[in-house]
Amino acid sequence: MVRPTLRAVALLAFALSLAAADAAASGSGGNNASPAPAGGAANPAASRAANDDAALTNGKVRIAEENGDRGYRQPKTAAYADTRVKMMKRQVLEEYVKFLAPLKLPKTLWVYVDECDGGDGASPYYSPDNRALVMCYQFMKTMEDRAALITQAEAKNPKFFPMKVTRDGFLAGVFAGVILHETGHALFDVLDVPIMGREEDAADEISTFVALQFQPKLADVVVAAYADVGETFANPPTDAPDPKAADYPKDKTEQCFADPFCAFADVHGTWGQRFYNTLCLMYGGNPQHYGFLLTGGWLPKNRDCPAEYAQVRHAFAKTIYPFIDTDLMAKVQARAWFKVNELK
Amino acid sequence: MRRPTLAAAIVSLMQWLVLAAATAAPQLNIGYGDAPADDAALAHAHDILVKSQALEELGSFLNPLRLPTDLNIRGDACGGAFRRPYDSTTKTVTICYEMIARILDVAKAQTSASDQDRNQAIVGTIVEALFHETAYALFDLFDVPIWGRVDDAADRLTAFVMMQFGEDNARTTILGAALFFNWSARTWTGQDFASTEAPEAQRFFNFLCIAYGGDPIAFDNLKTNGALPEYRSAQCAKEYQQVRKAFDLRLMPFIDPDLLVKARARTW
Repeated sequence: MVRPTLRAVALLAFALSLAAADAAASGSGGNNASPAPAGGAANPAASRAANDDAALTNGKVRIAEENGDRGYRQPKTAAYADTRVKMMKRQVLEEYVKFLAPLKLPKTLWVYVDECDGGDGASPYYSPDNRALVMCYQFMKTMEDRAALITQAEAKNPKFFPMKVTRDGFLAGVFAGVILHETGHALFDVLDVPIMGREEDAADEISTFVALQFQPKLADVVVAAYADVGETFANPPTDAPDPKAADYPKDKTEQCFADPFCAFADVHGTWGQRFYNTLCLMYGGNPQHYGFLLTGGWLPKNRDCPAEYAQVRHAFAKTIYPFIDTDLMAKVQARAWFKVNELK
Repeated sequence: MRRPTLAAAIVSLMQWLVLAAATAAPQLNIGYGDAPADDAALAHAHDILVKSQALEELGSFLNPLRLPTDLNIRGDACGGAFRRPYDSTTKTVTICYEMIARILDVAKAQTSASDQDRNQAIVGTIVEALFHETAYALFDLFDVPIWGRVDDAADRLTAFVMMQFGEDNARTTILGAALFFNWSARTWTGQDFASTEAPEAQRFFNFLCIAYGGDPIAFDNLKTNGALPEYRSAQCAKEYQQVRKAFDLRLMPFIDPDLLVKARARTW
């Protein structure tokens, strides 16, 4: 049946995003030659995997180079030059391409890193117009601030979040989770996947589902960060704003987000919904490992999370799994991708 | 040799299938449970469903479907709950009298609304409830892969179907349901967001977006009067096309196209 291969697929995407996260999050600029600390080590094929890199090629996932920049655009803001160097050293894009090697894409998917439009808050996105996944230098800086917020809140109240995270673990996990989410959008587009529900929720499902195909210790890094970060953003306001107030936004879209009704027009779920969706897939995918989410009262008892997980698994098996090369998948599954400090 | 045996097996299987099809074509069964004798509101809801023949109409509406098994659609009292989940074992969709009673209550409480608006909300929301609950059955019967939350998928399919029967029907049903979501919107906080159901305001925008995205001419006012904020209305054509694609790929193969045309040409 599909289970082993699903695991493999998921491993690939997950590993890919972790590699990216690793590069951006760690200043050490470590390279791929370091042995696997945990990820692929449990797999019997792990030992020979390091030599299989050459097989991990895919002409349909390509780095968009410009003027010999290897896909790492020169940032306009000087503060991001350092981030660029770190990401280049760690070969984030090159690793991403290797991770997606098992995907049999009918059309070329492009990937590059840039200082994105949208200022300091810009985050990675998929652009269907040029079929490109764009990683943004700004995102790592934003998440470093968020990491400080989370570790401080955790120090004050250890029960504020469902799962404890470290700074490095959070940065690796949230980068991985977000790149997986955007990869979901890319796959929906390139593979012409039918989406009956809301696409943003579907992309969240890809992210968490893929992460959950790994050993719990690795999955934890991504799902903990993805869930926790949802707790640090606000839900729609409950009180009507005062249009005469000094801080009332001028921008129409911002005005909408300040309104208790209009805020729900967002194509994304509320942060609360995304938080619980993630927890529910975690519990549904591995009730034993994540049983504390139910016993600890994080999830309501009447939500049928195993059924929700089965629904996502069914959709993945029907619409994405047929595009996977399982031999390459095994190689990806066997490869080591992770750093010790991010697994704590 | 294997080949003759396999061929024989296929022939006998086909004979059996033909026989089975001739003896038991899948049926769509409509039925009603009793309303509790001591509950006037539920008795009224029961009477409205029976007299309006809403379920029978839904049955005719589903006629173009090539059902793989029997499907049961029942009005019933649900012990105080507004919804009873679709039962995939017995293939039963339930419309709760409690939901019908609630729709009537919410509309009745809008004393400053016009009669026309109240009626539109009642009709639109009853149709919405019928389609929404039936969507779960279609997802099950036709093994539809569902990306995203299933309750939203049921809403999007509902809104999409509402758009296929002319602009007048689309206005009545979609704008009627949207009125109801607006009137019944409550404040959501904290663990409210753990619900598998979407907040009323979210559903309001999801329905209007499918309407505007599917027919920006007939529903132009949703953009001009500000019901849909600009940043959402800009995405609605894509949202509509996305649902359309999912419908075409995953449900259309189970629908008789000629009967579908007749259903679309009929006055509902």
